[in-house]
Amino acid sequence: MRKILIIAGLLTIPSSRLVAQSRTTQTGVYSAEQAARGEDVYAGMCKSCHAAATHTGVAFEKSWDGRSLSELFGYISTKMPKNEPGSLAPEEYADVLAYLLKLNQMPVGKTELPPDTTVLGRIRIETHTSRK
Amino acid sequence: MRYHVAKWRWTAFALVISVSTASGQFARGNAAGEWRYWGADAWSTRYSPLSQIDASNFGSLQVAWQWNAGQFGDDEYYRTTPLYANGRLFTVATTRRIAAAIDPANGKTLWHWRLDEGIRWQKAPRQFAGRGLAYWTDGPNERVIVVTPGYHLASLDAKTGVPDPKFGKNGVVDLMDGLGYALVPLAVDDSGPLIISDAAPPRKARPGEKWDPVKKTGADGTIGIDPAEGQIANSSPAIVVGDVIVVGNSAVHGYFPIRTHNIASAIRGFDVHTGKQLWKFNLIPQPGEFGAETWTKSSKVGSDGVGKNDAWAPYSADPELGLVYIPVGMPLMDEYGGHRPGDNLFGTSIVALDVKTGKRRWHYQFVHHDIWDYDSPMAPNVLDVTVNGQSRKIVAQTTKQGWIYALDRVTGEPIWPIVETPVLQSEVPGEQTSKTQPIPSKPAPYSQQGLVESDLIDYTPAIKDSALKLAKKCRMGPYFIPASPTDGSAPSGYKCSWYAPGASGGVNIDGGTAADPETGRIYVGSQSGLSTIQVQKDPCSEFRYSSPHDSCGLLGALPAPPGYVAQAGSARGNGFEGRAAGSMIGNVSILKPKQYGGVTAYDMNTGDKIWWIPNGITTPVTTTDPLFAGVSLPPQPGRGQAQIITTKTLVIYGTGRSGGPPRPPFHLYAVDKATGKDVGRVQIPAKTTAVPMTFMHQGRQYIVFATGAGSNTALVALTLPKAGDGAGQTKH
Repeated sequence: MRKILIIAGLLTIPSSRLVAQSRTTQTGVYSAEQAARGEDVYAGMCKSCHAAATHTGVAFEKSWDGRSLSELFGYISTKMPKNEPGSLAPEEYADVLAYLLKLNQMPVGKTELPPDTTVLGRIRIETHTSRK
Repeated sequence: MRYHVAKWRWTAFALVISVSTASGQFARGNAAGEWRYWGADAWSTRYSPLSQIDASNFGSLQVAWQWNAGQFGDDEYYRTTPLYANGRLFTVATTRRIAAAIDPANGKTLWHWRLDEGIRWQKAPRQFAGRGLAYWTDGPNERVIVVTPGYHLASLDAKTGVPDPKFGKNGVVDLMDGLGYALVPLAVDDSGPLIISDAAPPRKARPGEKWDPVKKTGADGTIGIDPAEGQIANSSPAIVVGDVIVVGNSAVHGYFPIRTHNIASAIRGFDVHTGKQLWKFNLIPQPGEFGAETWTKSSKVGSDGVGKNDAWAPYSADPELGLVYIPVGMPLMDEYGGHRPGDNLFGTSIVALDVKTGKRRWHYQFVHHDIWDYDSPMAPNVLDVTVNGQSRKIVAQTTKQGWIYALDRVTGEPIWPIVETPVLQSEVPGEQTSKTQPIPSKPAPYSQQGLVESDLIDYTPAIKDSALKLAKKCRMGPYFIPASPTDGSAPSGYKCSWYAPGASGGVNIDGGTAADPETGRIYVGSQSGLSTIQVQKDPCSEFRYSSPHDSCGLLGALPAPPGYVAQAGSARGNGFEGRAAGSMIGNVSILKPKQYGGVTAYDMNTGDKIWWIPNGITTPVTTTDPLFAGVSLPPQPGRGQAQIITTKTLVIYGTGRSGGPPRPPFHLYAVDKATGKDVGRVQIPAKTTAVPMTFMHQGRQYIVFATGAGSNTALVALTLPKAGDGAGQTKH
């Protein structure tokens, strides 16, 4: 009975989560340099409308834990900034994505996040608190 | 020998500059070779007659020095254009908006000044360096005029940075005083800034309340307008006309405000010698004043729906006419006006005021009952032109909505007909949109207007069909398409509307327009966006509708209503997902590429477009979507807002923070101002983040611009290599 319930639970997961995800954001998926660039973009393009609390900690976990990085990339790159959605270059959105991971205490790695939804789709967001 | 010849040439030229300045050769309030106003001169031309830097040598420009603004603190992005006057460079910097003087020859700080504003700064709606400052001189005395984030006006000795003891109280005037609101002691319940619009505000202090230095809450002794009335601040410099400092204000963001009233904005004149308030002009006319009837419910301060109309952009002036031209922003709440029926003067208008009395000479409203965030975003350009054989004194306002409104600057009459045209009406409950909007017959727009079928890509019948199908998901129309409600209450069934060029422009404060007083041409830096717009009920805001947002849980928000369930992530916005996210099919915009955005040159003698170029680069468009198989896709014009100045022969521009390539190398560009033809580019350390300026100092022409964000902000100065450095350039 317990096994059946687990399978039923899996079936309710959005299809985007069924993509093979070989890595999580706890494995060092962005570089310090990329996050630093992302911080500059964030300061210039995002900060005037966003309090950090709205996309860190519990708020971030509630919205994004378990989803793929491509979903978050898609969200910010099609809806942000509010005044001009989609107006940044894909690389800049990827940099902001790296900075958001840094803000949420995801570990730094040596490679950069590419602005490629296929690659990002294989990385699952795993927040610090969800590992506990 | 060659060195000596070159040196002699430099010296001779320096002498010419020195003599011309001393003999009083001023143009539009600016000394020859200087940049005394934010927009170069009182006319806000962003024009310099200098010609040492030209097409032949632009590519050899070198970084002369960088001034590290980050050493004084963090900023958002560095949005300042400095001034150059009488041998010094003046700027503001950091979220504290320090003022500083810089040696133009080497970038060394001569002095800097900062005001501690306590809670006034902590909760300032515009906590950044600001656009710049103002300068005044009577010859022996020089002043630098600063308006701070906490809304103080300071007059500093330009030579020393010391506040003028005869001005206000120890050199500072409290701008919150004199607006008609009582001042009270302030307190805070958190240590953070104001959030987005008016969440997490300060409050009136309780009797005897003290400051808690550990929690950083309580009352710190700061006095200000009771936060229950709203918030006020400033982001742009004052303009000095004669001996009058003209100052306005900015306000909270209109994105997602919680309260349906806020402070009513005003323009004021102050005596440059004493700081005494000379006059006040209400940008929301109060009962009995001209225009009050355009607020059909009530315009009275504190009433439901009343607030803002802030003239947050810099201003222009015609000192000879004694008029100052004020570009005015929109009323409270960007996308819903149901609480403020009527045309809402002087919202989204230009107002010409007599600089000595503050009396309205004329006004022109660009958008009636604005619900598109179409604030007048830029100092208007003053020009003398010849139209149909007649000399005309004009003022041209470039706008977020992509139109240029050309008006007679003496009377406010349109130069070419501007026609009140029937427009779509809102389907949002309680919203009463204006039946008509004024549409200029000339000049043609520089940005996408609305969305109609002929705007859509039609490379193949299948592509055309797909684009139309996507377009029809939201309400279409030629311009001024009102937002749709997401709750499905619209009779048409639409839950979204198309929005072009969008709230960021068209023209906006980052870019704007340079004007050439010699030819009557203007050069418009703009962008051309297409997105969607929709409104819904924010469950914890007083507004009946807002831009999609959930304020519940924010400090100062209304309590959550019974049965409220917080929605997470993207569901909060209730927007599109996947392919319907915006205006793209498989990474391809449904809009046909057009010569919009970038830099557009107009001849204001005729109202005609002269040339167009993209903002630095075009971007190749690629897609894996099979819909586009076999189709050769044209590149997209450059993104972002070009930041333009013009000189004797050139239009010089940076791409702005969101324009150009995302990765280095970054460039400053120059084109022939007559033709738009590319004549050179020079690599720069970082993207421009504000409009550059240029000046002549000790015989050398410099171009200076702001760059960076966060802790990495700087001013960068470019100049030509010195004679003998190996790069031939001396021309004078």
